[in-house]
Amino acid sequence: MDLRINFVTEHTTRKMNSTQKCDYIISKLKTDCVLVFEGGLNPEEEAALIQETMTQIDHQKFLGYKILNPTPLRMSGLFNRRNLKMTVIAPHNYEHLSIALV
Amino acid sequence: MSILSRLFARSRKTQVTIGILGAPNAGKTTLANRISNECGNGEPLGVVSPVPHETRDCKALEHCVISDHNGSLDLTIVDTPGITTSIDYREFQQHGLSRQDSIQRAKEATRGVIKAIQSLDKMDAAIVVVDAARAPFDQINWTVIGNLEARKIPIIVAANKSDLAEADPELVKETFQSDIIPISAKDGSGMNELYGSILSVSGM
Ligand SMILES: Nc1nc2c(ncn2[C@@H]2O[C@H](COP(=O)(O)OP(=O)(O)O)[C@@H](O)[C@H]2O)c(=O)[nH]1
Ligand SMILES: [Mg+2]
Repeated sequence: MDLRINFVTEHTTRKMNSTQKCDYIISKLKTDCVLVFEGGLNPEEEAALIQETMTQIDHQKFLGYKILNPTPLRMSGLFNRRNLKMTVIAPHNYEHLSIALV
Repeated sequence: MSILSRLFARSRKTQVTIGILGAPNAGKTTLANRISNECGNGEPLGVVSPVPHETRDCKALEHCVISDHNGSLDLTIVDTPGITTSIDYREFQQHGLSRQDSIQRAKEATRGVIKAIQSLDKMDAAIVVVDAARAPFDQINWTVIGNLEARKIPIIVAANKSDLAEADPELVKETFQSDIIPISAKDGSGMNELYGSILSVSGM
């Protein structure tokens, strides 16, 4: 399987509403693309993405995704998490790809 | 009774709905069943299982009562399905289910995740159950906490499975930079602190 990584700039996502962002992410995930989002997603967008993903999981090819905000957790406490600058989203089906904070 | 605690008692709601939220297998149902046993009619809210997504629907139990010297609180506790970003039917096959049963269970699990997210709008306060033995903790906890904050719902973070040697409640505290309550839903340690915290978030 080829691995592609797309860096999604804030310029690209600025014009999108939450639904458009979800559709964009899921369509990319379905083409086996790993996304690195500048600016990241806010919690409500993350929840919307989960719900849309759950309706689109087909139990064959698309099984959802893995997500990580690689900001050191210690600096991202409960109340200043909005400073996160990046989110990595990868298709779940990449069995040999793990994304982790170490 | 001091003036302060009288004020506190007066402003406290007497009926509160508390959601129990978190990642699959964090111990939500174990905790809900324990609260039912210790404060309610003892009816289990659901089946506890090492297989993820055993809980695939929200289940509420009314009239769990906790009290302190300020009075008592009539709790409705809601056990919810674990929230996750992926559902892989092959995981159920690894637990011995047939392919067909695994896919069926996976389909129900996807619907369960949606129900858990929808339940966020129906609770007065939430207990986010984190598996303290699984560092560095699922991203999903942040998603859940962020969404509760956005709705101004008070949050209690419970660092569960603190009975396990590999549990690290201190790391949970550092990670979430909030007051966390180490508990073991399994052996019951930390429950009094948890009840105290429920009383205090309900006295908004
Ligand atoms: N050691 C330990 N295991 C626990 C504890 N709470 C739950 N478990 C185990 O974790 C697994 C998942 O528990 P369950 O309540 O079904 O999790 P849920 O998916 O969040 O509802 C089961 O095997 C439980 O026995 C705990 O406090 N300590
Ligand atoms: Mg459960």
